[in-house]
Amino acid sequence: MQEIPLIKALQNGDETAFKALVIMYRPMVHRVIFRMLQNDNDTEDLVQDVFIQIWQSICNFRGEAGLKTWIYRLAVNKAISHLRWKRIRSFMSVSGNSSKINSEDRIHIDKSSGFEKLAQMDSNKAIIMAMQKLPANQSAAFMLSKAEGLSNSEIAVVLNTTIGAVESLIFRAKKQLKESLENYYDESIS
Amino acid sequence: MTKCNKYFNELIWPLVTGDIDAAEKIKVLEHVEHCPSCMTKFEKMSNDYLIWLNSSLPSENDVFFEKMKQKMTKQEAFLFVGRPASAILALASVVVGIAMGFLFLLNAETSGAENVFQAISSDYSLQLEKDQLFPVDLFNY
Repeated sequence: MQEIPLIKALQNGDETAFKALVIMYRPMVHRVIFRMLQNDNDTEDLVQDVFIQIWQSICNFRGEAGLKTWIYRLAVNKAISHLRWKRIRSFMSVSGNSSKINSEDRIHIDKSSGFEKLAQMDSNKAIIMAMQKLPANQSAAFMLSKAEGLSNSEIAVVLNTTIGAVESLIFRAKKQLKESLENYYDESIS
Repeated sequence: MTKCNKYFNELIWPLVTGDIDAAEKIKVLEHVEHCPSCMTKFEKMSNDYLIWLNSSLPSENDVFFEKMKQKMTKQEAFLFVGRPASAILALASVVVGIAMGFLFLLNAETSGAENVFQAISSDYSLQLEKDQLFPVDLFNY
């Protein structure tokens, strides 16, 4: 279905159009959220939330950006707020009662405890851990650029920022990833 | 395995992610081909990077729509209940409103009129020169 008729149909409450939209964009939304969260259950939950939000707010969609860009924005924002909420929760758990921390939270807590933790990981998890160590907006910018192949101007629209800020976010993400991964691979090879 | 020189070592990750210019790419690739240490590092990094890139496909389940519908219904049903702070605030406002109204009418009744409406209307006709109280004297109550 073409984009404009699809949007019109969605704005008219057409459920068939909504199903078509979900089929079309679910893999993309899933990819984006999963790469930032690295957790299947949370990802599935947030993907549902994104589509619910699309259904509920499609009437407010004015078409200033493309539909795909708008969906990217909703997905990234959902993932970023989830990560922030999770970090706050982890922090509260640590300051409250450290013995009650569950294993999932422990990963997030470990993220703040230095790159030496990378050395204890399987190699493919090293990249995931290094990615998770990045601030959420840097990780989003890097992921949208490298994994989704978006241009800096498209990323700027998704993250609601300037192209200069996107360049800076990607630069800092690459730098931090390079530092942490080089240490890890050098140690694991030698 | 011995670590290779810093120049090549630092360019392997950019080579994997494609953040390297063409001239340097050729140079590093030529080096990697002949250096077992860099080749191992390059292979490991590339493999792990590809895993990260391709590690996320949605499960092919038919219950996705069902789950979403259930969630939507739940959200609509608990729109009010789901926000306890707002609900408590709204309820408190209603209780305070009723209490103030009751107090107002109770005082109106005691102002000597035959019924509440008369009391209100007579006071609104402002017979205040007779020194009668306004139904609720907010300043001296």
